[in-house]
Amino acid sequence: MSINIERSESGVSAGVFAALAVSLFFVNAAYPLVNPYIDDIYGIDGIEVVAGKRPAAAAADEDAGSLSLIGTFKVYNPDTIPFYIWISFENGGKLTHLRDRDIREATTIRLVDMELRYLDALKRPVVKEFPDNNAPRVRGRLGWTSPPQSDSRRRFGRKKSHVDQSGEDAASSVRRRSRGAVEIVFWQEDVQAYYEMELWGVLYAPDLKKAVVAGNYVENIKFEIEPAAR
Amino acid sequence: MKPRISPPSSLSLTLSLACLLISAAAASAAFTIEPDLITFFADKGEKTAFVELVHTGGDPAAVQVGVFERKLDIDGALVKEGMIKSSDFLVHPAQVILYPKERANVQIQYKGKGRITTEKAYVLYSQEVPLNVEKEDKGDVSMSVGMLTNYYTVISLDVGKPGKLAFVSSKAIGDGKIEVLAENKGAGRVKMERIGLVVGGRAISNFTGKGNSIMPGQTRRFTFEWPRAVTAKEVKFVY
Repeated sequence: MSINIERSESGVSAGVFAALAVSLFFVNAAYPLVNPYIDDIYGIDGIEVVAGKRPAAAAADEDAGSLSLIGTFKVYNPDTIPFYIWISFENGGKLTHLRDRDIREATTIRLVDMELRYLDALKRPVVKEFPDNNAPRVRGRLGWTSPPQSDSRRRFGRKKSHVDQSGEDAASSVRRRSRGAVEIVFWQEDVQAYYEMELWGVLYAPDLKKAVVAGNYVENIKFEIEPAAR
Repeated sequence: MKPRISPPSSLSLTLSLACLLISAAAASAAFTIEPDLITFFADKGEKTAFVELVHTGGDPAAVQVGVFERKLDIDGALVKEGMIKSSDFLVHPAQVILYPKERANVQIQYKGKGRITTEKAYVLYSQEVPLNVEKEDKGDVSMSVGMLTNYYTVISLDVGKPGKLAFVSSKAIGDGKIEVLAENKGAGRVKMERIGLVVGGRAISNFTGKGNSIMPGQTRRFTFEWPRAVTAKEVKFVY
């Protein structure tokens, strides 16, 4: 190295850069990678409650505006490592009535029709619906009817506002797991350094008068991150 | 039978339009954990490591940290249901309150007994615990959705030995696809970052089963498009 310094200016640069490159390579190799992490989480503190039988327009969902924005968050992944993210409810989507600090009582108010919206690596909007989180049962004249299935939503035109997932990159997929968690894999070419995500859904109460007494009603949504290929 | 959703009655319509305390969005706590992989070089006698919990935004966060046994399914995905807490590690402190922009070190100490001869992995689960701050009771109704962040970090007990993949079986699974089962018969993990499959002299680029590394003694299923089941002689694992 010192020989290069004495010999010529260009030699200095080449030698120093070579040394820097080698040292940077080893620093990089030894430096631990940063986990993908969530930041800037915002939950909506007061949400419109849809009561009684769900309005036909909301159920048909011909305008996507019938869903409310439940929360927003950002995912940072500076080292662009592949990762999984799971999103699930703490109490299956049902809100609990919180009083006297620690006493939590179950209620019939629940979050339904939840979906996660974000832009993929090609800036295409992607919508991931929460599994088993359809509109609740409604009581018909002949008793309880089965809950709407996903194909009924498609029939009502719900899918109009959705990206066609069949053309989705195979690397990014959703697998359904128990407890209604939505799982998204960000793998290799689909992995980005930054995502902006939104949670949309409906806060639903079958009978608002009976369901609601004064107090705080809370449900928690869990975001779980796991780096892949470990 | 598909349900019929009737138009709302006037009462329910009135109620359905009721807005309850629509207010500004509230920032939830956010944190992260570093590094993304914790390695104990067991062959060099390492028994202690540190992780750093970092507050990244919002309100103070209460974080609980614990070490669990790590089970992967045959496709390499972490089995999260019913994870068993491991008694091989001591975590101190196991609960931390992180205030805005604060960092906290957590010590992870391996206290398992006996010589480690094969690589093993655990899960460090960092879980945000909800802080139920009681709001002022004004006799009104408040509805909120909290958001909690949790992280699964892998703890690896590295013995400095390589993994060795061996063919187990193969069968057709329909739709022009086959599965190949392989077992890691080595003492170290087979890393998934560089794994490749060569079948009948042809490199397979698109196959499943790459979710996580294959630990010693574990079997992994790879599926890919191929016209028929293959034999051990036809498959080569590159890693």
